[in-house]
Amino acid sequence: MAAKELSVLICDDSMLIRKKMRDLLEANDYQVLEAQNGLEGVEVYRQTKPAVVFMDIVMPQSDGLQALKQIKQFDPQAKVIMLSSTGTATKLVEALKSGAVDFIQKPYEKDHILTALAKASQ
Amino acid sequence: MFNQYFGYFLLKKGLLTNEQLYDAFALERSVRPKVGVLAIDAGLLSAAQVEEVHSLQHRMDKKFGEIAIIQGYLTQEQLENLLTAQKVRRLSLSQAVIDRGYLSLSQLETALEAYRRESNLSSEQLTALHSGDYDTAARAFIDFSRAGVEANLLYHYVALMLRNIMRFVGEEPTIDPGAPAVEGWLMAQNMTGASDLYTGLVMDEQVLVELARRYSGEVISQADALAKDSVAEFLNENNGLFVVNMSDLTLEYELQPPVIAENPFAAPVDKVFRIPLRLSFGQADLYVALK
Repeated sequence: MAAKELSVLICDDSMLIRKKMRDLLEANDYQVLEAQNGLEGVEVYRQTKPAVVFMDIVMPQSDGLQALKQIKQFDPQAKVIMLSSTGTATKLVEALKSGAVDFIQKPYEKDHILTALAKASQ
Repeated sequence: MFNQYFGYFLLKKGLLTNEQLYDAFALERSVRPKVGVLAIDAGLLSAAQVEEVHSLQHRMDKKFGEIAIIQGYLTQEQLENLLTAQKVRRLSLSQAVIDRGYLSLSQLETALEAYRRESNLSSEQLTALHSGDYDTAARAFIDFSRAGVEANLLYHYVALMLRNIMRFVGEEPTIDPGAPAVEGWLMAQNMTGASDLYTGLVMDEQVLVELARRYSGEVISQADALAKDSVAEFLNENNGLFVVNMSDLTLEYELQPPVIAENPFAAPVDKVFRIPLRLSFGQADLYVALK
């Protein structure tokens, strides 16, 4: 599937991260959806079923690991990439056990995002 | 790092104007060779390897040379030779102010003697400043003895923040213990763990805009939501690296979402420390508190 046909959900409470990710992904022909916390992320996922999700962990209301589990419950085929500043072994293991396909620690490299996205959307 | 501390001393003493100090800093920086460039010069690393190490520096709390060794690109001996070459080829602030004619040799000598005397730094601490050792700088300028056994944790946190300001903002910060508290916007984040750690950055709008602009790389010209969020995200990423470092030491911390407020730093604890950080564009106060 061509990149421009793929929608990607960015779930992050940081306006800066959402903006930078949107700029990067739109420049690479992806359609971008946004959510500001875990609750909103699950809701947007249910409504739109994006091809890939970039999910922060530390967020208000519902954190990214909770949201990941809810999304995977709703759609076991969901492709969720964790994008977080808390890249500890504990978080990494919990995310992968919960069904995340990748884990990128902030601050991220643009190439790393695009490579992970291409791999997840295959 | 010594250059920054000595430079601000000259400014405070009225021996240099603001313009002269930043002109001397600019001259000093313009001829400061980077280890990566020296390694390419010496045929030890390729440009691609240097770029890879720079890229890894964004994710690892380590110096260029340390990562190059981990990657197997340099041996310890090669790194030491490069660091020696870097020192030899580095222009000091002292040389820069002499070259620009801002101070005579005798004025410089008198000022250096006064700095050594008034700063109360030991020869080991001065050596650490010359070698850019942020951990020693934190210990030289901040007294965390009130924190008891957790003082080391706070020194580690402050040194990490100093390194990350250098790494992500491109500024060499100095600690200015006597500076009065600044007022303005607060970006704060708490970490829960064995002992809860409260952290915050307070700065006025001018500093906020400049810090946000430099960190984010975005066009930011006013203290709007994006500016505040950018500084909050900087704090979040710094704290994320701290949590990873602590986890490596088997100390687990959970980050809480960052908050932005116009109120002064307030934590529900007694042990609150304010660390004034001087940057070329103003002052930011770093707060740390323990529960």
